[in-house]
Amino acid sequence: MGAVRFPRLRLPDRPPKWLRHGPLRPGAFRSALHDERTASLIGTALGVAFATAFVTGMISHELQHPASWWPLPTRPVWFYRFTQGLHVASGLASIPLLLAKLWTVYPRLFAWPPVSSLLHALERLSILVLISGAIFELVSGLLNIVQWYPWQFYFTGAHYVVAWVTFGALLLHVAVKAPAIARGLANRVPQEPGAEAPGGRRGAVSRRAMLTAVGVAVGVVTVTTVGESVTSLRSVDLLAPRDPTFGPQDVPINRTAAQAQVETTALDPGWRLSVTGPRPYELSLRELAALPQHTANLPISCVEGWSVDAAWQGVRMVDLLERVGAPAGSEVRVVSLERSGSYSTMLMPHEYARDPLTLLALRLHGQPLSLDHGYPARIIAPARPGVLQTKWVSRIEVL
Amino acid sequence: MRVSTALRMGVGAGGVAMIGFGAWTLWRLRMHIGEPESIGRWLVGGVIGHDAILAPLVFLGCALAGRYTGARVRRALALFLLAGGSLLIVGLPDALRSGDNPNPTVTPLDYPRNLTIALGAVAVIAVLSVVPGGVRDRRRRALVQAASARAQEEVMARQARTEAEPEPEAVPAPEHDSPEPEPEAVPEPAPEPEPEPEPQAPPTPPEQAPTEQAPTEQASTEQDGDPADG
Repeated sequence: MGAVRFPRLRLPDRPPKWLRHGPLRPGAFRSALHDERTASLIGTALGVAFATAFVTGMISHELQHPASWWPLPTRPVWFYRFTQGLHVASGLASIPLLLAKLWTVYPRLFAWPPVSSLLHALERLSILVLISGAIFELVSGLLNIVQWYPWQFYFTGAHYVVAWVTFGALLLHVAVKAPAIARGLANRVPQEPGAEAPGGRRGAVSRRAMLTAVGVAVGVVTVTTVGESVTSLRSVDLLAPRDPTFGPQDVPINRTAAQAQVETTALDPGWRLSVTGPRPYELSLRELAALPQHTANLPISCVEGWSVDAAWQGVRMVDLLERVGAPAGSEVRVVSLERSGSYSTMLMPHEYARDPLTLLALRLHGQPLSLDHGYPARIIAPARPGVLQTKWVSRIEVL
Repeated sequence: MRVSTALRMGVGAGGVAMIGFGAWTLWRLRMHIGEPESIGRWLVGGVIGHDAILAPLVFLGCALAGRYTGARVRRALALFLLAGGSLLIVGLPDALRSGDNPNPTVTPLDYPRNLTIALGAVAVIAVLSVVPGGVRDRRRRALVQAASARAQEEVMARQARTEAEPEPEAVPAPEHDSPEPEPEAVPEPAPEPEPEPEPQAPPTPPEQAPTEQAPTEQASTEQDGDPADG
């Protein structure tokens, strides 16, 4: 970028005297840990965490809004359980990493001169975009997993677009800072005049102590929350918003029947499943239960990061589709009793519709579905986000 | 060099393209995304919340810790502040929302109690991390021992010279050092009246210097103003 010449602003080398107070006072930040090495070590860890969250987030987006050219994985059945658990875990782990990174580079906020050229101004602007986007993603994600929406935007859309902007700003930042990152990682940081080596001052916290603190912080945040999807760590699940075994029939729920306003329609004894296609038909719950029943052990994996294995029993989707004479490769629309909400209808690509593990489930863990789990009938398919495992199904349409 | 420059340019251009795609998608989906101004408010509010509120508080805490605490306490505080603060950020939404959710399977745990347990565990980790005998202290001591081995010889010679004087524990640290790595001994020499024992033998090679537990350093309360608490 050295070839690009922008007009330089003429600013004094030091802040005017009346400004030399607080953070603009010379020597205001004395710790040696505001250096390139600390910043690049913590920044690398944060970059890995953000990249993990970005990739897994895009996988989740793709599974919910599939592009036609994208292969949809149905195996392993825990594919989405893994990627979305990782998404939330890497986001939570990013909280201490971001705090530590911002602490390390905070003095640069008060660098003098504030702007030295157009290019410099653009770079600082990109840092502002990066930091605001990073904080936005972590805060909105953190509140979303407790289903707390104190804002006026639609969470998934906002989280998605800001993710693109933030990760783009991160790539730009890495490109701009590549030489400094390389110096920092290789531990070849040139000694700035007047700067002290870490530990040079008596009693100062060493870099190793700080990195240990960062590691411990990431560790405790992860250990106390990851039990909501890694069920073997459920006993140390202290701070996750979910206990993976707390809920009706020992399975959590994302949306209750009351929230979905289906309490009367789902309990209506006249409920019938209608299947439309070349040879449309309707079935009562009793008739559905009389069809060949199959068991599928499939995880229910929520976008909010929790997941748990469960044993589902019901009618195979492929059997229902053959009975209606659906052509091979046809897509299916599943309609719920839910009156409103983004997930009241669901499109099921043929990969899932023709999968022998995909069920219209009537029972969970040997018992009829509870009302909150989607009584009288719900969808369960392998490796799909929980919000697409439509509950309170009323109609299946072959498209 | 040329390849790395091209790589940098490519990554940077990719980043700009992604920013553009995000902005374009925001524009395209603006009708389906609620109030886009609300996104702007939260974007700006997050930066203000960190840069103008949280960070100044933390740096104020750092300055106070630098003024009133010693090296070990500061190290423990740094760990507790970062790990405990992160747990608080993660656990607070749970605690605030528990019992207040129309879906009883969200935030079903006793979060105030669990947060207390987790913070207590972090406090224990913080204390253990600076208690003598900790693993890191041992490693440090191994580094320090190598450095002090040379100095020891000279010190003992000096001791022999000043044997007549009633100062038997003038340099106890190196003596305890050699038989058993008892880490307590290293930070301890601080308050001792050791008048520049080795004028020409550097206590630690420069490579090993960057730990605040260098042997000749004293655990005194330095007026630092800015320790590295996260």
